[in-house]
Amino acid sequence: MTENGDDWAYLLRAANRGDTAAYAAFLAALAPVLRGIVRARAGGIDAALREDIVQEVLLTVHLKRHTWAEDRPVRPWVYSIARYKIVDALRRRGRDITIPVEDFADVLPAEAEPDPFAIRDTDRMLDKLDDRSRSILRAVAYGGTKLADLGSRFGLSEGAARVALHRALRKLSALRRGGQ
Amino acid sequence: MKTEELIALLATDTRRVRPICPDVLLATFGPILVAGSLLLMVLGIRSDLDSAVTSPLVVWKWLLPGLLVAAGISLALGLSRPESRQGKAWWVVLVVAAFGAVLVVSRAVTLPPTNWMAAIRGQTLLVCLASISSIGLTGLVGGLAILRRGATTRPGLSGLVLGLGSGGAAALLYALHCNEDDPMFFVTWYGSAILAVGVIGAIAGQRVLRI
Repeated sequence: MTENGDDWAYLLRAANRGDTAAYAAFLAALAPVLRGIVRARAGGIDAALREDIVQEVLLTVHLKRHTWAEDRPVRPWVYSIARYKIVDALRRRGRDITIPVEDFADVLPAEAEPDPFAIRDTDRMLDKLDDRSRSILRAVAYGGTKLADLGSRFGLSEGAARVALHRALRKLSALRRGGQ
Repeated sequence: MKTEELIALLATDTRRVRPICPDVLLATFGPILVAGSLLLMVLGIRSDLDSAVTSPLVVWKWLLPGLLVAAGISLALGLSRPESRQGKAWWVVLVVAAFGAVLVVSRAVTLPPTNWMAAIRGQTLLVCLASISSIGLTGLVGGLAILRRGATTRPGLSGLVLGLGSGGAAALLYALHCNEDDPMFFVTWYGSAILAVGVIGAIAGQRVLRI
């Protein structure tokens, strides 16, 4: 997994220059690592709940991506956020754990398990959002709507749609943090 | 929402967030400078300022808070990166505290113990506490608002160091007015006011800086 760090830095640098495919590839590479960590640390809880935590970490990494500086290694940065959020998420669900950061290097990545319960935390939190934020997030997540189309659909310029989408994600993250 | 759907959603959000460092400095020191200048216009600047800043005993009224500003703000900025380990700046905070204690003790031994309380109490205790803490709070509030965009994994600690830095900056300005030069007075009360802003920062940080 040593090479991963460099791959990730490459992808994130490309993402910073507007390459959304590289960014999606970074998040897609991060997700199985997060799953492995959460499973190793909280194997007793059910798969749907573990996937909720993975999503919570992904959302936070996304909203804080500007705190990675391009001249710094990616893994210490992203693992610090992940460790903090996983501990925090489990504590809110009534489990106190600590995660030594060295563990991240040893854990095997895990694929998502088939999940019979489609309704998860993210959807529950979506329901608590204001109407416009919810519609925007649903249109992009379920409808695959692009930013340009999002603007015309909600009567916004592309720039305003970009801001609205970003704000909606921040509200979602705040709800997850304070919710449950 | 499936995780793949979430990832596609996140990749669509291409809004760039600016680096926080310059904004934190502006949001912290801007309000302190404005509030501090207003207060100095009301209270006035001490008339013997030029001899005070060159006096080897009095100059600590600016040197110690100044060190605290540098250490507090650089710690707050450093901690806003999740992976950061801030070793060295802690030493500056400890050195400031230790040096303050040395100043108090070295002054106390020159006075008979019966005079200690009077030396500590001074003449302007309430104005001093109220001025430094309220000016410091303006910077704390401004700085916290921007620090929320950072990613500290120690929210209470981040708030504490930002508060110490803001309180230190407020003390720096207030010292331009205050002519009580006994270390037993200024170390005790400047220190208390700065610490109060720090503690408020820690409590507030715990609430508003969580990522």
